[in-house]
Amino acid sequence: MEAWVVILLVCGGYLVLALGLGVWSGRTVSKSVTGYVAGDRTLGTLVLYFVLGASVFSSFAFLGAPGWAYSRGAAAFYIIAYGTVGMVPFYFLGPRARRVGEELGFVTQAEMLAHRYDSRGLSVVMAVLSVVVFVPYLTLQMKGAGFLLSTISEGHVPQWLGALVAYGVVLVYVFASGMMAIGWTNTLQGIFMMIVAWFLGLYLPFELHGGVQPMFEAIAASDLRDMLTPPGLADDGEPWTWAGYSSAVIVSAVGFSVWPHLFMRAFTARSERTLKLTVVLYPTFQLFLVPILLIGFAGVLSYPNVSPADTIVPHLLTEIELSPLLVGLVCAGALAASMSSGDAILHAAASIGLRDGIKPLVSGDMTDRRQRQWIRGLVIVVSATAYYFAVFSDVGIVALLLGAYGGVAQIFPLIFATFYWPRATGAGALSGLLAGVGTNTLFLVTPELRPLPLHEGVYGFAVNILVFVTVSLLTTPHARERLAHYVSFEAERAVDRD
Amino acid sequence: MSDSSSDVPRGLVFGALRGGTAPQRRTLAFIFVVTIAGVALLWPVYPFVPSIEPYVLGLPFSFAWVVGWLVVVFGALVFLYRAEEQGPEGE
Repeated sequence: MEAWVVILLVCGGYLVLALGLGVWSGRTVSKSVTGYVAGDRTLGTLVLYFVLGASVFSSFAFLGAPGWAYSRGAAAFYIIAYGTVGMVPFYFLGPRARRVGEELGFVTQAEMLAHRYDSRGLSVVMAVLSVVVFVPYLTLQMKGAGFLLSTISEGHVPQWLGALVAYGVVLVYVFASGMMAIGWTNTLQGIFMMIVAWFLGLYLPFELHGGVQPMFEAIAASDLRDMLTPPGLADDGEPWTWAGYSSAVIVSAVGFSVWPHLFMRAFTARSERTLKLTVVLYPTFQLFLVPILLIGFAGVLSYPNVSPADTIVPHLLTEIELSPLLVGLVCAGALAASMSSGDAILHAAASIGLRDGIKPLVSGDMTDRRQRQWIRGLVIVVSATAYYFAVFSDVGIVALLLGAYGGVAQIFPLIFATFYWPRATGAGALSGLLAGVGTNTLFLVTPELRPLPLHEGVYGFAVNILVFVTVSLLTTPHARERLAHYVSFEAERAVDRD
Repeated sequence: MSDSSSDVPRGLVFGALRGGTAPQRRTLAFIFVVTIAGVALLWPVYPFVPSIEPYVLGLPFSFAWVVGWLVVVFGALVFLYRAEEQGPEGE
């Protein structure tokens, strides 16, 4: 049998397994909206750990991140740096959100914000922001999967077919089982991608250079020594600036915990304790970025001039002598990375689209049955849209997604104030968010206008917080009964008596 | 606004951090460690970290530095969680 056939068979086996597990997993939850969107709030530590881990690490993990290490060297440490502190706020915010969610029946981040700030407009703005970010994100995952399958099959599977098959599987299990499918498939996919990352990240340096340290010593002894000096290289190959590096870390770290598809998992946790423990264990998942970067560094001297840089992993896989069975497993691991984010994004986009975008605009109540039909309809619409962009359109998706990081991070001040600043008002939140996203977009599109070479998100924060605080102080605060769901006033009274 | 109130405090309210009891000091210590970790990974501290030698577990020093802080934050989280969930005031 030819090598590429074996590889495809292994990938096919993985896809069948994911499909079966995904569809099967839905049998335990109720047919309610809470069941479909938040798994009836029953997720335990193990599943939640992989949901939070695998949703974050997308096809970027096996394509983009090694590509950064390969072409930009130490700049890639940024990916580990922002995650180090980025998840910590969730330890405090997540359990609070979970408690309110259970009390008041929220399943999305925007529902909570809409209630806290008593603003239907805010919920619709959040829905639009989420969909604008998620469709390109999903498109990129589909492209990654299609690209991978076509490279590894030596072109026998065209990109359109690869993307169609991988995301056909995702579509079916998300449609059938909702959140439970995300949970169980992400567990399978997370374990898979971790094993593959550690295997490949240690195997390649030893195979090509005789070890990890000899590999770095060889790079340091070559004329590429500069790439190992932080902050590494910018995407034009020139040294990156410290201002650019540091501000990128800050914006990504702040935005990390408020990505809507990640934040809404707070509502799926079985208990506060479960959620806390998941956040505590999260850094152990993140360690898998170490071998991921080693994969990229392994290619630097052995296979120079691979372009574009994010094709380095498929390139290495076709060059090195490895049994087709192992290549198949690695390929399946990379597919798992793409699909585990893709399914979470698809599910979040459809859930948010209905709960925060459509439902607030429809007069009267919608039955649970009706809502589930709508969400499932949106699952199909979002998949089809992303697939169109992935296969038939040449719009610059990557640029759009890069801009998204700064935009999503603008949600953070609203979430923070939800639990810690009772004086914040709906008018302040809405105007702050719009001003922040607007400023971020302005400086993204016209980088030459930036006063300092900082990440556009930093300017977004400055304007966002200024507007948020000013407008909040100028408008009437919300009722204490509403705020009491989010802030504990007892502590403040105790201080007043002092 | 459909509802409003005039007796809402103007400043930030950190319910869990007021006063000086053991859990509150612990949370503050935790936030302090995480802040140090954040500062250590950014300008102006990170540029002073040696970039290549000495190697730690095969990694260039600047790489190991970042991973090291990830481990420190992990340790701090474990410490905080264990204390919170086992202490008398744990939920």
